[in-house]
Amino acid sequence: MASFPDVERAQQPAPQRSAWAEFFYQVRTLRSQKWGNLWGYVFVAPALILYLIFQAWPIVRGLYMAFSDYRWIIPATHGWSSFNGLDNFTEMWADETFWTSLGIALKFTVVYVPATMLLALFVAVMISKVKNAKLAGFYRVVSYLPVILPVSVALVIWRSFYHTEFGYLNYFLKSSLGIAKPPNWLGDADWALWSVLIAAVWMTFGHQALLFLIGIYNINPEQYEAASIDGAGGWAQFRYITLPMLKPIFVIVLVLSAGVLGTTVEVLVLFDTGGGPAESALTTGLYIYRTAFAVGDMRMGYAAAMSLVLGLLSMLISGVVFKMLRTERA
Amino acid sequence: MYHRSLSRRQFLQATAITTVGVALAACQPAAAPGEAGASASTGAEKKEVRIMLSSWAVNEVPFDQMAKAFSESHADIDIKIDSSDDNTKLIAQIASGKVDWSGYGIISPFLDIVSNVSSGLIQPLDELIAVSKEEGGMALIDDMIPSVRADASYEEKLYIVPYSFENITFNWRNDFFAEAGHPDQPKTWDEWYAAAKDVKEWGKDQEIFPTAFAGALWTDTGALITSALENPYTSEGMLDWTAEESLAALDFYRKLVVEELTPPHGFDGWFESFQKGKVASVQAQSSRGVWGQNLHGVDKWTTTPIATMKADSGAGTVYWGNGLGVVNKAPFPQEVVDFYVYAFGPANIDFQKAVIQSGKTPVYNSTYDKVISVEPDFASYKWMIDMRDDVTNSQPVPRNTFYLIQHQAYVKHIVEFIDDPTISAEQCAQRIWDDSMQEIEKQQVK
Repeated sequence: MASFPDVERAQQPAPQRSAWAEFFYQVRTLRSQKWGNLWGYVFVAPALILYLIFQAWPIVRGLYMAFSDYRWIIPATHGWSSFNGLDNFTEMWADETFWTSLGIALKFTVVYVPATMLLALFVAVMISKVKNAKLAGFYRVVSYLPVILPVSVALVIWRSFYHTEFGYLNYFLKSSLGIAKPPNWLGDADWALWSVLIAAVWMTFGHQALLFLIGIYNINPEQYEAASIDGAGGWAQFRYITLPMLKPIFVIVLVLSAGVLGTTVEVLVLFDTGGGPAESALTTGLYIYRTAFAVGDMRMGYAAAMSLVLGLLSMLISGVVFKMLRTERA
Repeated sequence: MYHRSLSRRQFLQATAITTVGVALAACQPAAAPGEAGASASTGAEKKEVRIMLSSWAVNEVPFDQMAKAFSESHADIDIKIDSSDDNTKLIAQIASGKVDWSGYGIISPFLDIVSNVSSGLIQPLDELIAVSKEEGGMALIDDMIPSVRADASYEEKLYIVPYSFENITFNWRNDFFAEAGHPDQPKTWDEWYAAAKDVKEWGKDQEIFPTAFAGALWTDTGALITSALENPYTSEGMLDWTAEESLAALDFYRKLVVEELTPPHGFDGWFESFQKGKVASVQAQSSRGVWGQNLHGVDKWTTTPIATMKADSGAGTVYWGNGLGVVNKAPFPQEVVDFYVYAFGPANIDFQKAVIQSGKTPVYNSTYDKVISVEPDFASYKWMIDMRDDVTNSQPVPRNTFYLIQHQAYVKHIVEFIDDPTISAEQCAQRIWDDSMQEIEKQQVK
């Protein structure tokens, strides 16, 4: 709705102006329209300032660090003088550990993302079928519990579960299935990554289940009724109604999962040694952490360069997801 | 409806005025520490001396009680212990010139001293201790076990006031060993191996692991190497991986693991097994022996020096102090040092007793003479005297940032070495050396 001054201005006959005056009038009007109501800027300013300080500035600083030889314990490298062009990227290209860790992270992500999503979707669909509201609420809480469980508690549970001699899993394998030498789940390089992955899926699927559940609850039940009248069975209803209607949720879930590529997941603490046995679970995120905060001079510049590459990869994946699953809403 | 709105010009003016105001307020020079101290010394208010301290240490040793006692006995000083580990914040404050904290810890020299000094986080303490008027100021330096003092120093200057030390020891269940026919501590690797075989045979029904390692370089093969070589470190400041004795250490480690005298790889899940009372001995920090006493009974666990390759071989054991430093540009450097002298110095017998009871080994010779050796209540801690003697005869680890570099190469290759019998000790040692040197090369600023 136009404000009074705008209405009054519109009702007045256009004054006669010279060409230059008309030009400047148009420019001023244009700027005025473009700026809109200036109070709006006041209201968004706090959020904008916080964003600039805590999001934009770290990104800019991280970008600069990615092109410098910034080392935490050597203050002389903290300024502009440590700019080293593309040296970090050249080093990264030849860094075997980086590529190995990226391979491990990709392997982890390729299994983790679909596994979590499928489990979450399955649980969400099952819960949505529960007619008793109280019971459905109970299942929702139970499925979300691992998400809010303190990480330390979850880790104690999983270490007790996987312990090679006294763990519940190996106890079951030995006593019930008669396997004399069950795997060393966290100590064997062949098993370690997958053992951690199962724990990670368990700890996070509840969040995605909740997102899917919100999506399912928003589907108009009349669609199911109509499909049912047309003779569609449970699978057909899921295939042709539920799945397409959940497309925006899939986009959210997949885009959020792109960050898993770094896999700095807390469950890696399950290992007695940082990157798992023989570094079989040394993901890129862990390697970056180690480079920036643990080893030697704490080479934050090189770590920032690796993070930049990882960030770009995640953005690329998100872009592909958006492109492939584009919907009206997402 | 009428909206009273700002014109663009008014908005820009208001914004500019606000921005200039905020900028001026932010740029106002902060009161210099000296000024703050001056106002405090007039008696108007106490100087608040803040110390940033790792939370695990706060829970372990009564720093809070010491801070309270010091503050009560010093009318113009209030010591505040902040449980935090945020040294990045400290570095940022030092760069900005306004530092809130005066003290910082816990600093473990083999991990932190070089990085803390190089990054400008901490400052030397010698002069501050020399002028301290607290009781026991100079005794703090003179009474300290010389090798612990060397460990707390860098380039001939003392940077850390340690309140305890840790050394790698052989912690063992004397009841298990005695029942297996070995009532005395194993002093050499051969004795250790023989005892482990017997304990395994004795405890096979209970699934007892005769021995275990803690999964870190210093506690595992690193300590074996120091127990074998007279000079375990190279001129570069690395462990001498390729020495004959070091290869023997790797082979000995593999023998223990392959014969299932330890958990898988020597350390997989060792701590849970230890908690369950399924570990008969562990080569680890001396405090692990005290943990064992707390879990299974004081009379069950004994802590002794590590077994050596041959009788009396080697350079002692790996050890390090746990201590606190003074932050660079600290607002109250003298006051915080006075607190350190008061709280952790040898004159404070109560604190020394608290340290001993927490399972940590004290750093002053007089504490052994006045407390552990003579007080009946501390008779169960007499093993600490052997630790003091062990550390006195040991070399401090080299002053560099190579520990974690070697540790990471070690934990990677030791697992491969155990899992693949075709890898020789020479190959394993060479791989650890090569990986470490490659990483160290990356640490050179070009």
